[in-house]
Amino acid sequence: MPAVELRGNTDLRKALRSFTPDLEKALRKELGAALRPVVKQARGFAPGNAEIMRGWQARSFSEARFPFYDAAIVKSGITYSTSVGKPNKNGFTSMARIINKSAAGSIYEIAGRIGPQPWVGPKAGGTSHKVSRSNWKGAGEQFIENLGPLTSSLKGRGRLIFKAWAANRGVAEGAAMRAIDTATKDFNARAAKGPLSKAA
Amino acid sequence: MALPEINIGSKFDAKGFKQAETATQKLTKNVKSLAGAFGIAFGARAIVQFGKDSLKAFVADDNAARSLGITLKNLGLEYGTTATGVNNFISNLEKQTGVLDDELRPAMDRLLRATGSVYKAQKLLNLALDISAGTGKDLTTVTQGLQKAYLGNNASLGRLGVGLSKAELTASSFEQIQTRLTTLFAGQASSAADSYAGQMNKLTVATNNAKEAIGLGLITALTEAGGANGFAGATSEVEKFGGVIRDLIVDLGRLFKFFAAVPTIFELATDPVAAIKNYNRVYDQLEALKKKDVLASNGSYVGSTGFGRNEQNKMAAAAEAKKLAADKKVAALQLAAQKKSAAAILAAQKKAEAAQKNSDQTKLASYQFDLKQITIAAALKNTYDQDTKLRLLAMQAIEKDQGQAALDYLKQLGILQSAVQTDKLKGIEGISNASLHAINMELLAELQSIEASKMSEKAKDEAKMAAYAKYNDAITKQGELMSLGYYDERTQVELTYIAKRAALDNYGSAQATLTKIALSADMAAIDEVSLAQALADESRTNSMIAYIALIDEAKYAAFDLAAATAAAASEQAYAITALAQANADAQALADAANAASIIAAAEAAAAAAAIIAAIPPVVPGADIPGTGGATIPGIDVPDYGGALSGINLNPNRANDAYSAPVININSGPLLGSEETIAAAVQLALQSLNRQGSNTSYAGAI
Repeated sequence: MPAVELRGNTDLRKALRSFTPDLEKALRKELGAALRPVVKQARGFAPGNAEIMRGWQARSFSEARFPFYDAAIVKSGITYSTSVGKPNKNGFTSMARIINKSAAGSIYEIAGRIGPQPWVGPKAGGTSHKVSRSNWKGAGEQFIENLGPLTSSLKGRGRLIFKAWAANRGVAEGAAMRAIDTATKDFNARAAKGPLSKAA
Repeated sequence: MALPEINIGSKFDAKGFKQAETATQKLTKNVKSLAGAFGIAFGARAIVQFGKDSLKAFVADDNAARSLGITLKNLGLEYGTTATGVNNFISNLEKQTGVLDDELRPAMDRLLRATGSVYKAQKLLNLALDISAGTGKDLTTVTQGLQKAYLGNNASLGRLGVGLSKAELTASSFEQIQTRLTTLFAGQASSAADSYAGQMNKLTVATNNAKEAIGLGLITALTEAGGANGFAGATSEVEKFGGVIRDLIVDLGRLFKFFAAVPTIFELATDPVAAIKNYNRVYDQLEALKKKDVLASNGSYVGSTGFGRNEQNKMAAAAEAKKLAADKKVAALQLAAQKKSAAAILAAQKKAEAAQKNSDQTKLASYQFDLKQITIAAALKNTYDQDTKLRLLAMQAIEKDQGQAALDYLKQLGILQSAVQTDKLKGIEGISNASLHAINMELLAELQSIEASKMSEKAKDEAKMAAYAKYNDAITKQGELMSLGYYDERTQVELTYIAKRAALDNYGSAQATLTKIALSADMAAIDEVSLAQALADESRTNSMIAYIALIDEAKYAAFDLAAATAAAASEQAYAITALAQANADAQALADAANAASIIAAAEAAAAAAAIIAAIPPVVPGADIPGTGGATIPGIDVPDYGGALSGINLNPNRANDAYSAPVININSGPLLGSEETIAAAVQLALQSLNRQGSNTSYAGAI
């Protein structure tokens, strides 16, 4: 049989799943154990519904323009995944990730990274979402100001998951990388011993 | 909107890029190859040839795929998507290794048939590709070698030059060889595929696949053109079209010829006769050609200037008659050939039968000089023993090549032997009634024939002696004669007759025969006597047992009586004692009770003693229950070896009124064990038997 070369995370995880399911299971478990504390801490950074600015709080009617803030949704939207993701535009894939997937949570997370959007007013033409069409010129700036400062981490700036990642100080990443490395080494060791047969 | 996320363990995954790159490269190559294939010469001929090749490639590929599918079905492996999976596997392998599926499919088919497992076949095909790449042998040869090796013929692998010695191939199992080969040829196929030649092969594969795809397209197009009838309809239409074109071309040619023959105005003006002659000649030629066409199509075609319907019918009838005549002729020829063949077979059979007859006669004649046959025949003549006879007959049949007869004799022998064994199990050791009857009859018949012959007296005597000797030998071999009474009346009469004959010829073997029969008769007499004796002994034993039983009964009755008397006395004493105690004059009453008790005890003891004294004690020294330690007195036999002083062995004359003998045993102090008494009684009975009773004793009456 021709020798098999594992290239990239997808190949590794596929090979682990097919030939050494025990290693794959162990890897998922260890990744979960490494990322779970970060997620928990990040959820703790999400303010309660009463703490958020009044205009962003949930209301009985929806204008269907801007997602309102609901602490429960934001908290449940902060999670982690241990499966290999799709390649990004540069062709990179990740073994695991922490995600802030709710709309309001995302806004709370990264609003102000670039700065307030340029104000064009409600009467301006176009359909771009990268401009502020608020009646008040200082609305965007005030919104960002009310959210509090962004926290820098090695993965980027943010208020929830990035803040937690920064607070974790690389402990989670170290554990995750160690787990991936161990799984890869174990797999290669087994493959070197003899031909691997596909697990049922 | 990209959601905020933190990625861990990110790595560049070039797989997608590689795939895209490979796909682009493949596409470029295929397009180039296709362009090359089309660009040989942009003539129609080349394109038609390509179309033909495409169809051929598609048909071959389709056939191989179908064959593989049928193999899977026949092996019971066609379930789910197995067939698709196998085809995909081959397609992938073809692309990876550059080996055409035209080779891979038959190879897979062969391995599937050998292993009966898709998984094993795939594994072996991979190995075969590696070996093929490593050794340079073609895939078919390698696959055949592996197939044979899987089925146990490892030698075929040796011829492939795989680097395994003959000893290794012989000593190792297929699994071991497979593992070794996998190690030896690992990566050969992939390496070969990556080489320049491999790339070229891949190009060929791509071209071939393109051809197959185009062939499929052509078939599909033709099928669609056939309308509702599908591909069959298309072919039919193509055939029709061809026919029409053919006719058109022929007609056009003739038309041109006809036009050329039509005289022009110039010809009519210059040489009208020649022009018209020429026209008529050409016209006649064309008509003749049309007639020929009609005849060729058997009257199915009516040209504009051809024959009428009647004429056509006539011609058809003539053709039919001609055909019938030809068929008849062929049938007659076939019949003649069959008859000839049958006659030849019959002649051959007759010849074979004659040869067989001749051979049998020759054999028969040769028996006359065959020493073995002569010996067997002589031995047969010299024995009456059935066992020996059957053996000899079987041997004779074998010598004569009569297998069935030999088997029959051996079967009879088996039956006879089992009968003998059964008799032995029953305790019959001597010759059986049936066997004796058989040899009796043989002896008597032979004696009769000797008597009836015209031999000299001396020769007769010798022949008789030989017959008696055979008779004696047969009896001896079968375990000698048993007591005469064992045999039935018929056999006994035969024996008596033989004994009489033997007595008349009382010398040599005849004497021995007579002795045997006499011995048998004596045994019968002894048997009778012993039987009578046994009956008498049994009768006496029974009498003695009955007598002993009677004595036992009397003894136990005495015990019971003594016990009852003692109990009654005890009760009486108890009552008196109680009364005395109750009474004021207790002392007097007590004395009286005491006295009464003493008297009663004395009376009871006296009564018991009297009864015991009247009964002959049988078990000396034994306790009498309820008597406070009293024992049964024994018999005193001072001198047992001589006359019994204590026992009167003479019959009691005072009891002459009874016919049975009476033994009186004197009372008194009898000492001795029970065995002693039994021995004494037995002695008395034996004496009585020897001397007889008063009715049988000589001189008593």
